[in-house]
Amino acid sequence: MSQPLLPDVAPPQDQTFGDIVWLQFKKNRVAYFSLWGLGALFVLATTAPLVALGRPFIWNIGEGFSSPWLTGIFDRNYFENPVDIFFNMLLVMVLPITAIAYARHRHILRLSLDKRPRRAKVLKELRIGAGLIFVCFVAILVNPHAEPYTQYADIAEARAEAGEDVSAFFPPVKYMFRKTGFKSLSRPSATHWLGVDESTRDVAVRILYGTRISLTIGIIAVAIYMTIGIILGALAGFYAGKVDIIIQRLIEIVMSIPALIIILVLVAFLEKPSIFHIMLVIGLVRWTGVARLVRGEFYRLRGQDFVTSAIALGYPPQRIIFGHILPNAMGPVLVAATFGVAGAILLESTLSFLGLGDLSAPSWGQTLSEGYSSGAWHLILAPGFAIFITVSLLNLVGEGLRDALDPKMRK
Amino acid sequence: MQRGFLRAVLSTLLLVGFFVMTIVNVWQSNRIEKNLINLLNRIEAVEKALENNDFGAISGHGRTRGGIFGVSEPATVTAAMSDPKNVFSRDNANWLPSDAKQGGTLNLKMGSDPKGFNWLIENGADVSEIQAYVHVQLGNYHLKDVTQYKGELAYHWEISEDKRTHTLKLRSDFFWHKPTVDWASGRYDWLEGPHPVTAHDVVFMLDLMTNDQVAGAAPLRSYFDELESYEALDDHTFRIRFSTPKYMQKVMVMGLYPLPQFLYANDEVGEAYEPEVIGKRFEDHWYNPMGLGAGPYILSRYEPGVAVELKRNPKFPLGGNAMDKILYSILKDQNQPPRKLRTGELHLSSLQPAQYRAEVLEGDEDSPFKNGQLQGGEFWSYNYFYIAWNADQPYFADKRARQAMSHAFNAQLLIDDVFLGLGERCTGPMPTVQPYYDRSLDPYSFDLEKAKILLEEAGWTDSDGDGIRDKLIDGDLVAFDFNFIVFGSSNEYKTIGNIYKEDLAKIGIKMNVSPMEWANLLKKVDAREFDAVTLAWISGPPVDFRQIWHSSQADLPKGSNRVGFRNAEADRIIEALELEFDEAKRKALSHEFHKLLYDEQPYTFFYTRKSTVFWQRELKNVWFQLTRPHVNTRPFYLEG
Repeated sequence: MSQPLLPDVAPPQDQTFGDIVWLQFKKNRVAYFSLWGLGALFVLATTAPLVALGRPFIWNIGEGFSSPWLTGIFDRNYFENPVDIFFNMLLVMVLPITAIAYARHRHILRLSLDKRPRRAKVLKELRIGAGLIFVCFVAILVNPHAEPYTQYADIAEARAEAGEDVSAFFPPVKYMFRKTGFKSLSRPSATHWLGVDESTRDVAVRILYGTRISLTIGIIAVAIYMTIGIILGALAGFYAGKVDIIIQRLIEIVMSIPALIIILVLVAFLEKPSIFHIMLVIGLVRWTGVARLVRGEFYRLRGQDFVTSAIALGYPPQRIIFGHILPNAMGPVLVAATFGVAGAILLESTLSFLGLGDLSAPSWGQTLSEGYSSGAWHLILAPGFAIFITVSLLNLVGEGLRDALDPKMRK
Repeated sequence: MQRGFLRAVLSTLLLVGFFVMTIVNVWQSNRIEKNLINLLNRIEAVEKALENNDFGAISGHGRTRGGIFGVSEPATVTAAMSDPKNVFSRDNANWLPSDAKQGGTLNLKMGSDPKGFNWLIENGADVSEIQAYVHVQLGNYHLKDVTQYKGELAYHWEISEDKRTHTLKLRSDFFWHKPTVDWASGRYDWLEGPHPVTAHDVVFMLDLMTNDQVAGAAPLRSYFDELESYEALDDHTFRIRFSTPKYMQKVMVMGLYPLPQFLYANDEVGEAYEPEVIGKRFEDHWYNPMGLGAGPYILSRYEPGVAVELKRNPKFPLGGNAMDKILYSILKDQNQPPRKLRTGELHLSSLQPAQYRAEVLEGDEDSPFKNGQLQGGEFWSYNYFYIAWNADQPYFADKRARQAMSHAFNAQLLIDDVFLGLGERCTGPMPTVQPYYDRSLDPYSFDLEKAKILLEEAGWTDSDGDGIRDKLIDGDLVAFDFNFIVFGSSNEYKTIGNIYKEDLAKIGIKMNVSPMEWANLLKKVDAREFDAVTLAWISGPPVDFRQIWHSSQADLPKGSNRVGFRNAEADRIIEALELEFDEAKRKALSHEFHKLLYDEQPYTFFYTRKSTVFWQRELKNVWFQLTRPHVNTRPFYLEG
């Protein structure tokens, strides 16, 4: 009896669920490039002060060298928004972070671990790294740096005109988003690529810095409502019965009130609406969808063998919920999160458009609103396009992720 | 078996059939009854109309009475015009030219929903505008001369030698409009009948105005502090007496108007209110969503968020109402009016500066705003914009700090660049168009260095080196970090905030611009819970500073002296001005007051705005009043 000749094949790779999804995701070229696009937006947001800031990198008027740029990006009088401080901190920390990451990467490679333990180690280190960055951020917030508001560009010009000694090395654009004094509502020109808004500020720089606001609002608002939604949904799905009924009714109550109305009411009560209030408010009204999603997933998974055996082993409920069921239920939640970020960005634009945003933040919605009321097309096109690009990228990534997670779509 | 089943089905069907028929029957008879009642009501209305001889008003066509055609003046009125003691004189300027066309519907816009049309408790500009059409007052300024007075409801006005007693004779041919209620229901039959406007109605208005329960009348009440007595001598004679004569009393007496006692003294079923509670009941009276007057137009419909409709009052004895109907569309979106002007849906609208820029300065050559399809004009109203500094807050208690704020405010740039030059810089507490305005004072220059020096003098220094000035007040180091309230829905106000904020940052002051929704803003300002706010005042032709600047108003709840301005010298001038009737001396006192406020800077006075108005070509005889409402369409008529 002849046997078929087996070709030499490599032993099957140890593929985790994440690997499969990632491979699937990469096959969707549009989604893959959109992810890169989002990365680029993030880099753009972080590096904005390198492009446009009213403070020179190096400054010397005969009193020794200093770097107003470096002190300025942590200055609470100059950057009033913690969002900006956070991104500026990231910008300054880019070099040390890369160096440390590279060193740790080498170190872990040298350990020559298997795939899964290696991945676990990388995750752990990433978590520690994120924690450290957060601690630095809080330290800066608690202990803010502040210095007088100095018009370096004007001083440099005045000194140069008077023939006095001045050496200054400015970023390519010598002002940032709050600088006023240009001709109100000028059309786009060589000096102001996207024109000037009604409050005599440069639109291009505002759009650039606005990327930070939009991304942060999207991510933080979604993080808030994901947390609420996952916890409530998990409780409802796992315990079922009375807990489920109570949480379900809570969801229905929150859902029955239009989100925008709640937000408008809450914002009306605030003396100084900052963008963190807006994030919080968006987070507090949008969790219901996620909670329902997670609850459904928990219902599906609750009866499965791995859960039953975990219960039989006598694990405490929190371990079963968060250690066993939740990781298996995260797929659809992640997809909802990507779409949610896009939704939150749009909602923030809506709020700013209605005149209830934070005036100290260069939000896209505000520029849009000025364009609408002044009828200046350049104030509508620029932020509109920025919102369109960001939201499209996020939606494309979300769609790619959804397809990648769906076993039926796999080829 | 088979047959039993069939029978069951048949009988069920039959039962259902009967049931449906019963329901249809009941419904039909109900409907017929309703129709019958409606028909009877209509017949009754027609009968009444025939009886009152105003059938024309109901059908909307037919003959016209009153208006510009056939205005007849009673002989008593004609005689009164030649009485030298009469303060009223004949106004030779007419609302309408003799060749004006009658009829048509005028489409105007209103920017917000009026809260109601109770003339005494609602003081919004929108309600005042409607009041000018729907109601009459005792007298008014001449159309083209604000130093002369003409009679409206009153035709004879005599002021006693000691200037304390005013006696007015009222015309007997004024009638209250028919209230807008659901007459068909029969619940309001007690309101029926022609109700003449009498002196008792004026007394009733004063009763309510002086009633402390009517909180909404507080601003008006402050003008009647010296009121001694008032009474109706007979149905058409009214007398009012003051303890001390003051200049503004003349204007205030002229501005008095009657309120319909037959309506406001009763609840919804016609029961009279007890005298102790009438003030409270009046504040939330059942008719407050609507308003009743005796003027040239009848307030016939108000749908919140949609429209206010005024119908011509064919019986108005003074005429000057050419339109059959004036329809105010409520357009809360500021961008709608120019679009609706283009499409012809609006006959007339003012333009915001941004719209003026977009449509006129930068508009296409063939746009309706430029090619002659729309006509344009402008008027100066008695307004001034300002930034108010709450002197009860630590930041602005010192006048040098306030002067510094004025020096740091780049007003001229805002006027020229952002407001397109549609205004004039203002230096004191009155509009620049006001005859007493002192033009010898130069506006505060935009000078940050000077501002810094003034702040140092006032004790605001950056002692802790954090870039923000601070001052030791009662042992606490207070940083100069304050909130600036602006109206959030208006980009103009936000622009003021954004630009000012930058300039203040340069001199070490941190300003947080906080945009607020209108109702919320007013609440904060009335409760004095603000550091600084930018708003505007509108006034009338005579100067009067008590309401806004007298120290007695500073601690009044909801009073207009919101900044807590308490200055003995200012009080002295205000009081002297009130007692002064001589024009030259009044002017001198006003200049003195102007200088004082210029120095004190309780406000940073900003500018007086010029309004631009555009209207359709078919609208004729367009001119604007010298007093509010400036755009009073009574002279206008529609051609064709």
